[in-house]
Amino acid sequence: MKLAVEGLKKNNVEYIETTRTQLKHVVENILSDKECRLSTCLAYDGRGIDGALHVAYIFTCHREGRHIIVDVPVDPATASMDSLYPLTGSPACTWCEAEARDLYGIKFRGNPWKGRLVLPDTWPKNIHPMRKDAPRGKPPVEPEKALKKKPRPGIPLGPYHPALHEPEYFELHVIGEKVVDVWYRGFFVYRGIEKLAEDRFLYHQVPFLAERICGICGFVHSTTYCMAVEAALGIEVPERAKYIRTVLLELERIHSHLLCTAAILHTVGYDTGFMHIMNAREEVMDAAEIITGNRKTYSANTPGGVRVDIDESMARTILEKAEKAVTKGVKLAREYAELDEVKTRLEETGILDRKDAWKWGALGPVARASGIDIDMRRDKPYAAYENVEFEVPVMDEGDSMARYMIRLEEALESLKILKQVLKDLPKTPLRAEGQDYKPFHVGLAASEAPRGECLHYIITGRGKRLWRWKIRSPTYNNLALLPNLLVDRPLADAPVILMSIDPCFSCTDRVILVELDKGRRRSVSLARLTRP
Amino acid sequence: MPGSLAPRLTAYREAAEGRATIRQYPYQPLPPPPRLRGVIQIDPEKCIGCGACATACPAKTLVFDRERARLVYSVTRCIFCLLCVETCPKGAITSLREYEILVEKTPTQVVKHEPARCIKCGRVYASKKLLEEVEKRVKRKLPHLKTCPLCKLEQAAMITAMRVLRARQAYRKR
Ligand code: SF4
Ligand code: SF4
Repeated sequence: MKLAVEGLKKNNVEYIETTRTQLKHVVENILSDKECRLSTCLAYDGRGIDGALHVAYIFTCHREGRHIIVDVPVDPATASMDSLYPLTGSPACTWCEAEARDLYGIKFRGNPWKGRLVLPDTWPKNIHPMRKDAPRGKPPVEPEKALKKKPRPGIPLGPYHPALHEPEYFELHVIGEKVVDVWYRGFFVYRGIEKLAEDRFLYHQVPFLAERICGICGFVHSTTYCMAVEAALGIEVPERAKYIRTVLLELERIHSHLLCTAAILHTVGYDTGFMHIMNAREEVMDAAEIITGNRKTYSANTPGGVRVDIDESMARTILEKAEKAVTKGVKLAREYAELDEVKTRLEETGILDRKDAWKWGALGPVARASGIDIDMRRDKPYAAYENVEFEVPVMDEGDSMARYMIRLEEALESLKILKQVLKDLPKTPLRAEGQDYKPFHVGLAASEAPRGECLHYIITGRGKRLWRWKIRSPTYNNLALLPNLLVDRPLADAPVILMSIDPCFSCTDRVILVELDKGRRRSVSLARLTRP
Repeated sequence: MPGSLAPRLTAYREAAEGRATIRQYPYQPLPPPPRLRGVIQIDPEKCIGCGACATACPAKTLVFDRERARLVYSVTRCIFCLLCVETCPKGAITSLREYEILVEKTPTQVVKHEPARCIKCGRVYASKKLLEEVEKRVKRKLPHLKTCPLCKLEQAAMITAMRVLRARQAYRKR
């Protein structure tokens, strides 16, 4: 049996099947186009389809809005292949391969990430949880393992720390006040969402799970998932549904960006600003509540359309509220950025130049603040973005201040989009009728989440269930480059730089709470790996 | 710091204008939005016990217990997606304007149905109401509805086996 990939072409996705020996050649060819870079990779258990484990690398050619999937079968008996890290040099590549190794037991020769990434260090070696034949029903037995000696005294930042809003662990090694090395360990909240969806959920129930990937930008995940299903099954979404998705996506972007700027102010210690911006942001939350009945978890998506409608008077109220929130929030945030205590902390800290940003795979506002002009909404329009006019703000400074300011600019653009979209919603039904679920079809969708390009890759399976669902949230790439930013910086800047990336750990980890013995840490210096 | 004076004034002004966000909560509850998706309620009169809602429920909050012909809803696991409301063929489920679920006794709703027993093995396999509804829709009596799916499968297997036997006998006789 072979996977059906017809749905991809329409979406400007190229599907290349190759072999392990040919892979290097194919990838070199793709990367010779300077606009293309590796977005992520994933593994899937194809033993029930064609008898092999598979690894798929996904490349994004940003300006053309084109994606390339390179699919490589791996012999399950040996389960090993060459890493693409030497070729791509992006930290995200070490991550996604390490994830595939943890979850599917595929070894990547040449991947510098030696320790565990997603699974706890105490997880048994021969159990690969995402394989279809993984034992279930009982927790795996933990082997005895010696505590690793710390090589150097470090300053722990996390897993629970006032500067982090979620559990993640950074160990900053300092000489005097300067950070010289960063040890990172994440995925403390790996919840197994992908496995959960594959095992327990029917495909049309997954949007509700997808929405719970992130506590801030959940709707973008459910939309991207739905778009991936629509691409795979060839479902045409009615125009009105597209417009309503756009409205909700933009409301989400506004509140996410205001939250981020407020959180940056909070991190530098200016809590007055935090309170005032959060107060302004409430209006957007109210607007979302009016449409969907909830501030954050909208439950509005379903493959093939949306479940809520917006009438005219509602449209007016939403616009009013959004306008109020944006004008006030942006005005306040801009003014507070002029305060000496804020300005000196943000300007010139954590500079990420264009070359590094591109090489390390920066996405979204982080990339745009470093002069990389990418935005999925414009490059590969989805929802109603092809029918609206907006600008993509780009800044060249690349420091924390630029990352702060660019979010304000984007919030203003979002308001512009909202105005156009809400002016006339097309009068079509809300959902596509008559869906035909076909097994073993591939779908890929990309969207511009508030934090950057968000990818969902699905393979449909039997019985209306998914065979594989891979989520690549933007923070996955942005976080992987973070240790590079912290090195050679004063320790006091670390929290600010961290916040200016606007990391969203849960959606990166996104996957049953695993108890990790804090002393048993596998330390791998990402900084050492990726420093040029 | 003269450079910072203007924003500081803005901050003061903003603080003075700020709206009070704290209410005396239990005595002064926040009015929920019109489209609130709240705790669901199942109307035992309308419900026929088909279990469609339980199949649709992503959180497995609504569970249809076939052995006892009852529908159980435990609110603590509900994600308030209202797929059940959308799915119910009888419109028996409504969403209440109730959102305070952190109470001492978590409300669990149980809709008990009169169980239909299989005339062959005596096991409960559906609710009587569902069988009546099916007969009402097709407008005639369906005697085969009175056996449970398992017995039906057995019966079907028997019939097939008999056929095979007979065919074989017929073949041998030739
Ligand atoms: S609202 Fe959703 S989660 Fe709650 S019972 Fe209905 S279907 Fe289940
Ligand atoms: S779908 Fe409606 S009728 Fe069927 S069991 Fe659920 S509530 Fe009862």
